Amino acid sequence: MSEKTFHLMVVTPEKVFFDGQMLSILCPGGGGSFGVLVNHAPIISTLRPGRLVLTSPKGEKQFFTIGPGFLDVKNNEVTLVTEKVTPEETTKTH
Amino acid sequence: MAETLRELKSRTRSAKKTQQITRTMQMVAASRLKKSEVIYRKAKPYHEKMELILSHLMASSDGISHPFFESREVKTIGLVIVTSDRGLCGGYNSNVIAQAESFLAESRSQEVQLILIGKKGHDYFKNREWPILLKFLDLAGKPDYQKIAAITDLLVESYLSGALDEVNVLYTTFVSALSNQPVLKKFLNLQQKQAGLKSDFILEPDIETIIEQFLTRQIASRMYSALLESFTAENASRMVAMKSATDSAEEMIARLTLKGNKARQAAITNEILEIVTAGEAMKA
Repeated sequence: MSEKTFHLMVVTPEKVFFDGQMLSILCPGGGGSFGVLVNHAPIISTLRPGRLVLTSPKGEKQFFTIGPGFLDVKNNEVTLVTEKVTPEETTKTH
Repeated sequence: MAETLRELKSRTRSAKKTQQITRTMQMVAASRLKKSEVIYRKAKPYHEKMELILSHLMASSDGISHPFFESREVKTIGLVIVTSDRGLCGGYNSNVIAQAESFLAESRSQEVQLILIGKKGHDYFKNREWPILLKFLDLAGKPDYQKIAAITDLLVESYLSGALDEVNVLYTTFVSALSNQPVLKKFLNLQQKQAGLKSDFILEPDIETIIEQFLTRQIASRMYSALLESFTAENASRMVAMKSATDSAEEMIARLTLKGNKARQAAITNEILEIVTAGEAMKA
């Protein structure tokens, strides 16, 4: 495990959508979009429906559309709960 | 002879047919059980994560002021009763109904409003003295998160408007395929846990907004989890009931076959006796 990644879990009422290491995430917070990197301060935020961007440890970006939900960060354990997640069609690599 | 050979044969036949049906139902219930158990297990992390976030929220604020945390004088109780839509599932529904009855008997001093999920509970309570506030008969063992969230929204609404002062949910827990237990849980008015460890979470946008949005979802998640568990228990219960029906049909078939064989043997012996007697008579 690289030091630059953190553990992310994306869960919906139906299933665990994602469970693994991530480099960064960008999510539509209730008070504005924000990003989470490793060693982020503990935070609980509401999420508006919108676009979620995940950057994998290899630098690949994935885009998802999410419903309303919540984000919880503590000790590099990031939990994103939302009612709906759907992958967006285009997946870009940078 | 108590029963004729023909009667015994037809009874054996019908027992065999019944057994075939119950065996099929047992297998169907077993496969449904597998499916619903998978759904239940898959849905568990969401519920657990929601509980985790709640505990974080509690830890990061000194006392959340929200109607859900108020203690009110309880005048009207809402009782949600989760039963199945279909029968033939052993003691599943009757256990729930028995527990509901004892709860209702204990709460004579308050007014109780029923919220019924499942046809069997509705069949039982529709002609009784307790008023039915809401009923949901269309879930049919397939819990859909959106539908359940709509149910909890209605409950939350009537709690906030003061129509209900307390909401209890009576559902069946799934311990294992052979053991299910109806339980009664308080759903709204959450207990304010006094957090020992204080942690400093950044709250975005602010605690009120988070609490406002979070609690209804949290309750929906609890309800969803409770219903999934109940449906799993229902399938388990049906499977066990059908298994024992199949077994007792097996026993019955064995008994009837034995009786049938004895009757046939008796008939043959009789016939031989008659022939022998007739032969002897002719000789004489």
